[in-house]
Amino acid sequence: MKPMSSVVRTITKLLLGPIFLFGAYIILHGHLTPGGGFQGGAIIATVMTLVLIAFGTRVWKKNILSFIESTGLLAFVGLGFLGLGSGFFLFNFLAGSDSLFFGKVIEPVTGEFAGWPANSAPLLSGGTVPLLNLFVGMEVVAALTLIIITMGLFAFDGKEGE
Amino acid sequence: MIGKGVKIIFLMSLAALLLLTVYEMRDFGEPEGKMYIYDPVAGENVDGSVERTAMDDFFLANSTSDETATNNVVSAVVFDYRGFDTLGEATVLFAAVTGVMMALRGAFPEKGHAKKRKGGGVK
Repeated sequence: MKPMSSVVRTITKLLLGPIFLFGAYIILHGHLTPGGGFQGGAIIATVMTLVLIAFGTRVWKKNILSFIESTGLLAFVGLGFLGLGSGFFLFNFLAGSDSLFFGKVIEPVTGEFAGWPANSAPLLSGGTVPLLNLFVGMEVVAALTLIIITMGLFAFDGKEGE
Repeated sequence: MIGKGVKIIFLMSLAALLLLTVYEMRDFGEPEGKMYIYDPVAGENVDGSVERTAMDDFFLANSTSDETATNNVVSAVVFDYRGFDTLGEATVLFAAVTGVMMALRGAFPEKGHAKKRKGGGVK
């Protein structure tokens, strides 16, 4: 697909950052607010598609996207296998531990952890849930972008060239 | 062929059935409602006297505390209690990408088969 006019390219440059930031927010806050890896990944994939339409189909490299997709899925499975050490497959082994990240934060007054109150948990909570969100987000972004790149190359670049 | 009247009657009855289901549902945001619970002793469904199912109570009680420490109960269910299901969804997406790239592999300028193709090949 050929690059589009300079009006489209300028608007795309303007919108690229905010939409990407929104998608990253949806992914990273998946364990706190509605959303998660699939939803945020789809939002970031729309940015990739917008750039693809505006700047032509040769912007993104296929090999890098394939690597991101495979890494996301393998990391998901690998984290699941890490849970086997303390329980079963996909066991949330970070949630009950006293680790610095993703563990429980002991309240200074009572000295024990009673669970998060509604809608006020910190970002570093949830054990393996935010990590799994991140991996699923990587996989969804790369997968949707790869599908659209492949179809765009097949549909347009064979006839028009570049 | 089925006549138009039969189709319309079928769709109307289907819509009536779905609307009846909506009427039987509990109110939005209200965990209490009429529920039918299978009683293994009596061997039949009885009107539920509990407010929620045992699974609801378990998720609400344990997801925010030590077990997953996740504030969002939906995320705790999707990524922790039912994490295997999420792994399956991600695998389905991976398989979809693999299928698309295999079917349209002539679109990429690889060595060999790109020059032989006429339609989707890139020069």
